[in-house]
Amino acid sequence: MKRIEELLAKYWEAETSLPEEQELKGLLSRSEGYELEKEFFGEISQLASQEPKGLTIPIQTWKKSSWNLVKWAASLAIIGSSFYLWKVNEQKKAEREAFEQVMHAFALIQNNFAKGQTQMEALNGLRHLNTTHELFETNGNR
Amino acid sequence: MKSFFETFIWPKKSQLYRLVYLWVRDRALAEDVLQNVFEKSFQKEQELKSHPNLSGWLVRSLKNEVLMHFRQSNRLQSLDGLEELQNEEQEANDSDQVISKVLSLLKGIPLRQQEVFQLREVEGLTYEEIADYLEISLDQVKVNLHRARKKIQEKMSEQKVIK
Repeated sequence: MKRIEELLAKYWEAETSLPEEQELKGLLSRSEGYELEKEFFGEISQLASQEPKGLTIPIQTWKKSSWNLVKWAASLAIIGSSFYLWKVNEQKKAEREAFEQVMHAFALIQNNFAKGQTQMEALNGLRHLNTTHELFETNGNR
Repeated sequence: MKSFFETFIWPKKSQLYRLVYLWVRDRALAEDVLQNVFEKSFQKEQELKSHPNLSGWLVRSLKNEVLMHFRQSNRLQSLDGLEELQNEEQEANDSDQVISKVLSLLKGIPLRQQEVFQLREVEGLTYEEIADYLEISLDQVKVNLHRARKKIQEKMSEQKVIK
């Protein structure tokens, strides 16, 4: 009790050190009475437990700008790769079309060639012109 | 690796928040003010690394930010008027009963004494640390703390008599 009184007197005169103030609070919490002082220190510790809730660590400017760069780079990469794929696809399409055209031309040639061959068959008889001696196995020199 | 801000400024957030709350008595405003000053200090990180009194710089910046806020709303021209504003606000905004009890003890005490009292009692800072925070001399810290405690003791004695 005597120590509490002594510390309290020093406290109100602002002559206590931090360890002495801690000692005073400890002694008060274990002692009878001193209700007003207990309430006072209790309220102060309640105030000390107040914490901010919505604060955030600011984002570094270079991180912000590099993040923007990353976003730009990603967008460009997507656009670039899309363009490249489109280009490759277009090229393949053109190649396929050219191949189909060539094949179509070949088919046309083949078709016409076959047609010509059939028509040429009619001329096969012409090769017997002036060859009657061969047909009738006669000697032309006779 | 933690940045300078995360190592030296961010850990002070709770102390600074309670100090701003002492001035403005409004949780949301206290957080806004603190966030703005954090943004500024983050941008000035390089400059602050070599600052001789980081805590003092932060407290001064917070005061300026509060002053700017109240000037914008035409409620305050200088920090000298903050005590009057505090007293007006106290009844309206102190919803938390326990905190309002402590703050009611501080009512009417000059702002400098309130600040010294809070930094000592609530934050448990040494006289030297308080002197750095408030950019005042050690003697001023001791005098202000002595006066603040005396006034609070008087108020508590009055309460004792009433009870």
